[in-house]
Amino acid sequence: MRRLGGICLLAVGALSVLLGAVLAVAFGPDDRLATGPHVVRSETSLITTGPQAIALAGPRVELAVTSSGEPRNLFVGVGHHVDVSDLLGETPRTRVDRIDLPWALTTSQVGTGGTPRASPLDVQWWYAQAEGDGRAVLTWTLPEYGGDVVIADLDGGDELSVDVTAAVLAPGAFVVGAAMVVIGLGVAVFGWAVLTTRVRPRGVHANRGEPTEGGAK
Amino acid sequence: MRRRWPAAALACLVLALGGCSLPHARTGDATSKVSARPAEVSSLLDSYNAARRRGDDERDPSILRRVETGPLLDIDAGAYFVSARSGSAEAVQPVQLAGLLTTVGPRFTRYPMWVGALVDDVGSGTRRFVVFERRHSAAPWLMTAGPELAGGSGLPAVVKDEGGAADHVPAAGAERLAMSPQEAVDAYARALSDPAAVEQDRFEQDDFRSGNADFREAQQELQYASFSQRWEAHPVRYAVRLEDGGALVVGTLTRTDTYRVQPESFIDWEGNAAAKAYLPGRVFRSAQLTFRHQVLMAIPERGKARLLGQYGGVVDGRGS
Repeated sequence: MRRLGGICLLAVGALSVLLGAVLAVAFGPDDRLATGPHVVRSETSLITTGPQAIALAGPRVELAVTSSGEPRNLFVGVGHHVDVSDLLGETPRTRVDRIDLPWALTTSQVGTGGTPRASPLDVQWWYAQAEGDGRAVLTWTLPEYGGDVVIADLDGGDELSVDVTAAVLAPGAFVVGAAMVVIGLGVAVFGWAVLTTRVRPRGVHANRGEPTEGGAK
Repeated sequence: MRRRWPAAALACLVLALGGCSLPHARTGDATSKVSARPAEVSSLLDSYNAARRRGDDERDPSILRRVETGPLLDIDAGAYFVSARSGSAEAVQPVQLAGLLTTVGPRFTRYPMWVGALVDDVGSGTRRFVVFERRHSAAPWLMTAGPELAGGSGLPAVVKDEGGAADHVPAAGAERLAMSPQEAVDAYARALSDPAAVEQDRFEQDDFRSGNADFREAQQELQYASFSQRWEAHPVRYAVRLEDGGALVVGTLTRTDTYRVQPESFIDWEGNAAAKAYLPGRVFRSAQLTFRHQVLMAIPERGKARLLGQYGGVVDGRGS
């Protein structure tokens, strides 16, 4: 029984150390699980995601977009597909139709011609938006009903090329991982001790088979 | 695909351990949206109240244009015009929408989209069903309708899906209804135009229709002018399904009152501030006053439709 308990404690401790280490290493001290940078290019000044591209909901994510080469006047926003498609209409753009993680994009060229109804800065329905000269960082929680990401050069032009880094944010993940490692080590050491340390038998059962005069002590 | 499983499982485990919401397949529909949620409607009401307060103080329709459009703007701008011309503050009914009681927002796959809201109007002491519409994604939400409910009553229960979206009924959709929304508003216009029309039997009795019948009768007894009145329905844009199987409909009607003055007579509109504002002085030959009215009605699955409320006023006048 002692042996089984010791093995269990050792196994739980080792698993905790392993998962904690994976968690701490994966997220790092900045609590981010990131992929990138990946280059995304468009013949125009506009890159969007389609309504089915972001198939997941739940975690908080960050999208860091940096223009390749000369700094561009970047806008990055995420809004409901109905709003985004109405705003952009038939504006020519590169659309990301599918994202396979860790990172593979399926894109298509859409839009027969035209311009957006308004500047992305003139509407208030973005879930989140960011702008920057050469770099913009967007953070939002993936909603149940999706969302289209828009990357645009506010000054127009063509041949927009950007480096995109996507990350899942989990505040405290590194600390939790480190704590799991420490606690797991403790449990494993205790398990090892239970498994290997001989404890001097005491009590009624300890005397079984060695009757002494006067009975058990 | 099989090779991705361990990585996906590990990623989920790592995220769960990290205190992060577990990533999961989306359950919502990405290609349609509920027009507006209660929080957004509350914000719209605040903006409306601020503009309306200023507009009511200054009697300036250009302020109203920032928050209203369509027939409702015609009606309220008409009231400002009458008030300015007559110098009477009574022509303008102060509006302050305080309590948001219910929102009715259908799901849309494209613009334009609209949202209805039942609100208490503490300015006039009434309850109104207001409708905001947004023509496109870069346009502002503007109020397009605001019928007042008779006796401050409530709305019949509106069907809503799991996401809180009302079930939009097409204007011509008569499925499981005594008549389609457009048919109902057309029929109501005919019932208002002609007391002998067969459409009278398609509606329960209401004060608005009986009041109009009394007014028309009184005008037709004028000895110095002949009077005729015509009602026309506008295309219906706002209708939703009710839990009792019926439909809630907001419709707009245009009313045209025409007077033909007898030879050697005139009309000077004493006691009629609205007509006097649009037709100052005396009318010797003919006069025409145009009104807009917005009606809120409930159409049952079977039986007679019922008027729940209305709001209207004079919007134009011409005469000679």
